[in-house]
Formats: sequence, structure tokens, C-alpha cells
Amino acid sequence: MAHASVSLPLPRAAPATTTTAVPWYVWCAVAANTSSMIGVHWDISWHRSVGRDTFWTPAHIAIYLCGVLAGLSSAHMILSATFSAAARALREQSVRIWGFHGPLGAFIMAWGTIAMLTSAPFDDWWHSAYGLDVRIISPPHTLLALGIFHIQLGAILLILGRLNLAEPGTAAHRTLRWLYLYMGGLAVVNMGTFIMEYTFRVNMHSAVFYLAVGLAIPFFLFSVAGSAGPDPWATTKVAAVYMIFWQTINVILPLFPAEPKLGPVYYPVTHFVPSWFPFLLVIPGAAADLWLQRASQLRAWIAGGIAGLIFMATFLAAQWPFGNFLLSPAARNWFFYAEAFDYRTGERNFSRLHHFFPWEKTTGEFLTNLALAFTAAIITAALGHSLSRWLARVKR
Amino acid sequence: MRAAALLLLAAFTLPAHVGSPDVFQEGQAGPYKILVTIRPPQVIPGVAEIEVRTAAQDVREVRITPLPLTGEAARFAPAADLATPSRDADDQGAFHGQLWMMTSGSWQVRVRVDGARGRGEMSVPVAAVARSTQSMQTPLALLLAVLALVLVTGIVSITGAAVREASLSPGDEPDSPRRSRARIAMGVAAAIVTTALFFGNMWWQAEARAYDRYIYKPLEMKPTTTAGRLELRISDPGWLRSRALDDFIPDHTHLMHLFVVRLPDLNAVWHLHPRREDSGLFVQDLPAMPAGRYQLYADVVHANGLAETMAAELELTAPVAPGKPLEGDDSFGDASVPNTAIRFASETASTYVTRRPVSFTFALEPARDAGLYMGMPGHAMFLRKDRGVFAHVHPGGSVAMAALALTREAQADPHAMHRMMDAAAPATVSFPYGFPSPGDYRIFVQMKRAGKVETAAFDVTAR
Repeated sequence: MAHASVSLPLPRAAPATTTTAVPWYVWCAVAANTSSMIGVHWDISWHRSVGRDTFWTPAHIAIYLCGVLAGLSSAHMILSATFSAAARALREQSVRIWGFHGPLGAFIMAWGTIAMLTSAPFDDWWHSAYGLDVRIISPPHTLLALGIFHIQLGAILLILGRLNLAEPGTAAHRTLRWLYLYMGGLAVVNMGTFIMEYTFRVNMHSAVFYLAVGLAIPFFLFSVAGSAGPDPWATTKVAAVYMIFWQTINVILPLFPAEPKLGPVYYPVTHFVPSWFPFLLVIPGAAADLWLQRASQLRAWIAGGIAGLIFMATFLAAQWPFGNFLLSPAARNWFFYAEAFDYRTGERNFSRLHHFFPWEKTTGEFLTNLALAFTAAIITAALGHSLSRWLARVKR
Repeated sequence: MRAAALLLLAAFTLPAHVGSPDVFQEGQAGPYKILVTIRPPQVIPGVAEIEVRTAAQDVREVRITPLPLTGEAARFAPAADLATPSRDADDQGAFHGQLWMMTSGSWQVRVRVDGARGRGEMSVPVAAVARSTQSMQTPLALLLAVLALVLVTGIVSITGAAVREASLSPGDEPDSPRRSRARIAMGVAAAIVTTALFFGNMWWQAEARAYDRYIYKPLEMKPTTTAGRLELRISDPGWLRSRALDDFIPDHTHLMHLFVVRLPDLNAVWHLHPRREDSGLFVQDLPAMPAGRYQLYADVVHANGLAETMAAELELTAPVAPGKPLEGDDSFGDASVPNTAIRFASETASTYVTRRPVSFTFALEPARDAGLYMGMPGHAMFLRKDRGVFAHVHPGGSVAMAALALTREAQADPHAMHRMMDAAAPATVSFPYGFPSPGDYRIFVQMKRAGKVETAAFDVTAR
């Protein structure tokens, strides 16, 4: 496709082909995504503890900060690559869209920023037309989530492009690779957040829990892990980032006092309510790594599909008994926070009763959902691992 | 007597009372006398405006909090919000605040007053119901359309760039096959985005329809008459599944208060109390009534404190004669002739400002032999002459007494109502109320003297 360029002519010179240092805008993109994931979890806790919010709650500001940082860094990259003769290296590592130059990740982050901006007036109108959201997933919130997701995707591609151009063994390469794994972990955090309404503690003996995980997690886990360079434990590391990030937030939040400012109140909350203990992803992550270390000669979709099968089997083996533990008195402490309930949790709620909720009403339904969970994990892992081969070639 | 009658009825789709959603309630928060105004939101969840007024000079702080009137959650109040003192010189002694009403149904606003004489609390029931949706203004629609266009074309272009150039080494130019693949990828992306927009629009429409079902629809009432017997058949047009037709609780000892107003002149009013015959069926043996059209308003209160007013029109094709003599608490008032037994005692205005609470005061003339009418010094009905607004108000305010009795303060003092009923009746009575919308109104006031219910009508205008 032909593009009209609005940029300055570049001086002829040898193309800049390597990354020698981690550029500030990469750090900025990572900070943006860290901020959004902290903000989203804080905001969810806010709605479960305090209930009422304003435009300027700290949790909201953390989410806006994501948009601001992503918008600034992507605008800087695109405008520099397009108009600044000094940013020749950046321009060499750019794609072209509508006559502008910039890294692919920068354009995706810019798209995410515009989606976040668009969701604000849309959401405001939605509240005035239909009231405050009773459900998390509404059209304007979906647009906001798409915005946040694209800023995350953009940052992943931005880091990946620099990583694939960095000299292995250099400090820049090592830093970029850790940043890439960290961003992979944040992507898993994001997907774990998206399926929260299906993954309550009390759902751990329902197949829908495993179906939600099978649909949401393996694609990002395996696409990032498979493209992070030769690392035999990449999947385990991404899973560990997810678990540490999620758990850190959940341990910190209850340290701060909060009380409901909305009724009806069914449970007297006194501190910020954490969500629930992270999925035990390091176990299926390690099992998948052990397999992938031996599967490099296989076609990507076969290796990935089998990794998905191993992932779901080991996840089920680990998480199912862990569910028993989380509903036992032994888990009612600061580390596993199994006695943290939001203010809307009535005394007959399964969580308050510490009973598993029977999502599937018959054995047939259960087995069907379980089969779907395995199928989903196999397909999404196969897709993710196949995509990782393309990602490993991204240089712009 | 045989009165054959036929009727037609239209129920007005307006919340209880009718067209008058704001709540005005006067009472004691401990030692402090306060007037609470609640303006419920149009949408649920939504923000209610709360105003607390007091003449007491020693009030330091007013806090407000919302909670359901009954049920498990009525035990736990959310953190109370501080109401802000008014800076308006014309509104001294007023405190303003906002509260979120999160679910449809029967709520209460608990008001806590702190001052030199200590602390006092008072709860005011309020119905939280969604009443409308808001359409999108054109400038906002245009802005969102432009942004949507940028997002759609942007994601298609990004997809093309990703396939065309993302894996190229720095400085390389894409070859023809890459460009072809990019064009195909853009086509696929465009198809996916179009499909997503299509389903997104379906989702939006489904959400809007779901919300429409959530908008308050009052109970419907179909009146029929046979041989002077009025039957009121109540049906639920569909709103909250939890609403029942057989859970009404007595309000001033009656399950239903029926107001029958002669049309078109509004010059005659009957205040009757049909008895429940079956689930969703109330009956009333009519007193003597001429043939003609009548407006009916029927007040009921559900067990959870939610008060509803049903509206219907009745046409009597033949007079009811001689009819059943009025008995018990049933009463009749003829507004075609002035009733000098009740005087408009408050400072009257030629016109009233809408939504502003006013204390409408009336006095028996001469001021003696006053009695309680159903436990109250008086009852007032505010009726807009086009019948779009109707409110049955008590000296305490516009809240149904049955709902008020469900609040914690009333339950803590179960003899409060009895004391009110036993107390000597004053010859002067005030009704706090604010007109919800402009128009010509008729106020029917009922007070009791020497065992006889006096009914007088007063005409006012609101702008």
C-alpha cells in the first residue's frame, strides 16, 4: 500500500539495526501498564469496599495515568520518528500508518489511548441514561478495557521490537527480556481480571472456573513465553510475575481502612477488600516448560496444543485441592484472605458459608464444561505458541 | 337500586404518589425538628438530592445515609455523608447532600443531627424507582461518531502495518507479497471490526431494552361496578419480580385509601376504604353518587414499605342511589360550595414555586372540638387539575405512615403511633409539600370536628 509521508527527508546513512540501551519511552510504557493494573485492581477493591466513587479516586487516577503515560510516550515516538531528523534510528525501526512513522507498539498504544478517551464521555452518558453500572461489563467499560488491553499489547510489541534488535548478552538485552516477561505477566493479570466473575473461590470445584481460565490465560502465557528468546523457564517466569503481582496487591490493599458508602450493606467492611488468591499458574507453567524444552523440533501448533493439554491437566490437579484449602479455616488469614467479603455479600452467600457453589447442576453439564475447558486450553495455547514464532521476528 | 356501569380505564404510568416523586417529611431527630426533602433520581442506580431544613439554631452537623427500609441490609448503614450547610441567604438552616440509590425498591434515608442538645436521628422512607432513560445529545453523538471512525480505521490500518512491516529489518522496504498480505489482513480486520460493531450494537440495544423493563410501572387497577358495588381488580404490568399483589399492609388501619374525584369539575371527592376480598381484588359498596365520570386514586403500601398509587377512570352510566351510607372512616366533600369550617391559615401566595417545600397550614374555624381523623389531625390531597399529579399528604409529610412505621426509630418506639392517635387534636394543621410541576392545583383538606369530617377545597397555582 502506498503511503503519503509528511515526514522530513532522512539523511542517507547506514540503518540503525541494534538496541544498545533501553529507551525512556519503553520504561514509560511499562510504567503505564503497571499503573493501569494497579488502578484496575484498586478500583475493583474500591467498588467492593467503599462502593461509591468519583472521577478523582486514587484508583481512577492510576488508570488515567496509564492513558497519560501511554499517550505521551506513543505521541513522542510517532512525532519524533515522523518529523525529527535526529530520531533516525527510531524511524528505521518504524512502520508507516497514514503518513506517520513509529514503532508498531506506539501506534497500538496510541489507539488504546484514544479508546480510553472515547470511553470517558460514553461511560458518563451511559450512567446518566441507565444508571451506575450494576455489572462490570457494559459497552463503555468494554471500550475502556479494550483501550487498556491495547496499551498493554502495544507495550509488549514495543519491547519485543527493541528486544529482537538488541545484542544477546548485553545489559540492554537482559533488561528488555525481563521487561518483556514482566509485561507478559501483566497481560495474564489483565486476563485474570477479565474472568473474575467466573473464578470466585467457591467456583473452584465447578468446570466453568477451568473453562474461563482455559479461554483467557494460555494464549497470552504461551505467546509471550515462546517469544522471549531462548529461556527454558519462560512460561514459569511469566506465571510467577502474575502470581507475585496479584498477591502483592491483595496483601497491601487490606492494610488500608475503608467503609461502605453505598447501600445496601450486607457485610460490615472495615478495610479494603482483596480479590482472591492468584491461580497457582507456576505449577502448570513449569509443567508446560518441561514439555516445551523437549518440543522445539515439533510444529508450533502441535507443541503448543500439547502444552495446553499439559497446562490444563496440571492446573486442574493443583487448583482443585487448593480450592478445598481456600475454603478451610486454615486459609482465613492475611496471606490467603479467605474471609474477605465485599459489603454486598449476604450471610447466605456461598462465600460467607465457605461452601462450593455448584455452577453446573448435573454431571453431564460438568463434564461438558470440563471438556470445553481442555479444548479451550489446547486451542488457545496452540494459537499463542504459534503466534510466538511470528512475535520472535518482530523488529519494528 | 340498580346502577349499571361501565368503565374504561387508563392507568397513568407515573410513580407513587402520581407525578410527585419528591418526598417531604417533617419530624423530630432527637430534640431537633427537621424537614427532610428527598428528590429521588430518574435512573437507578442514581443520585438522590437530599435537603434537610431546621429552624433550630444550635445544629452543628447533619449527616445522611441511605439503606433499604427492610430486610437483611437494613441492619447495616453505609458510612454517613456530611450534608453541606446552604450558603443561600434565602435558605438559611438548610443542609444539602447527595446519596446513591443503588437498587430499585423501598429505601430509607437516615438523617443524623448533632448539635448543642446532643444527637438525634430520623429516617425517611423513599421509593427508589427508575423513571426514564436519557437520549444522547447530538454534539456528544457526533463526537463519539468521529472517535469511533478514528478507532475503526485506525485498527484496520494498524493491522495492515503489522503484517506489512513489523518483521522487516530496520531500513528494509516491504516487497509486493507483503503488501498483498497486508491488504488481505486489512480486509479481514475490517470484516472482524464490522462484525464486532454489529454485535456491539445488538448488545447496546439489548441493554437498553433490559433497562426499559426496569423502568417503574405502577400497578394497574381496573374498576367495574355492579349494583352499586365497586370492584377494583389489581394487576401487575411487570416490573420487579418481587412485587406482590397480596402483601399490602394497613396504613391508618386500612389496606387501601381510595379517592374518588368527580370529573371534569373536581367539585366532589370521596375518601373511601375498600376492603380486600381476594388477592388483587378490593371491593367497595358505593355511597350515593350521580352518574358521570370519576377519577380514582388508590393508595396501597407493600410489606416492604413501598407505597404505590394506582390511577384509573370510572364512568357511572347510571346514578348510584340511594347507595350505602358513609360509615367508619369514609367521608365525602362537596367543593362546589365553600366550606367555611376550614380556613387557609398559612401566608398564601398567589403562585407557588415548583419543587420548593412549603408548609401549607389550615385551621378549623372556629377552633374548637377538633378531633383526629384516622389518627391524624388532618389529611390533604394535592391534585393538579389535569390529574397528572396527585399526592396524599399527612401533617408529617408525604410519606405513607405504614412505611414510616417500618423505620428503626418508629420500631424503637412502638407506642408512638398510639400516642399520636390518643393525643388531643389541634385545631391547626400543616402539611409540608412542594409542587412537582407547574400548573393549577386543587388542595382538598380534611379535618374532623365533633365527630364529623369536614372537607374543603382550595385552588392554587404553581409556576
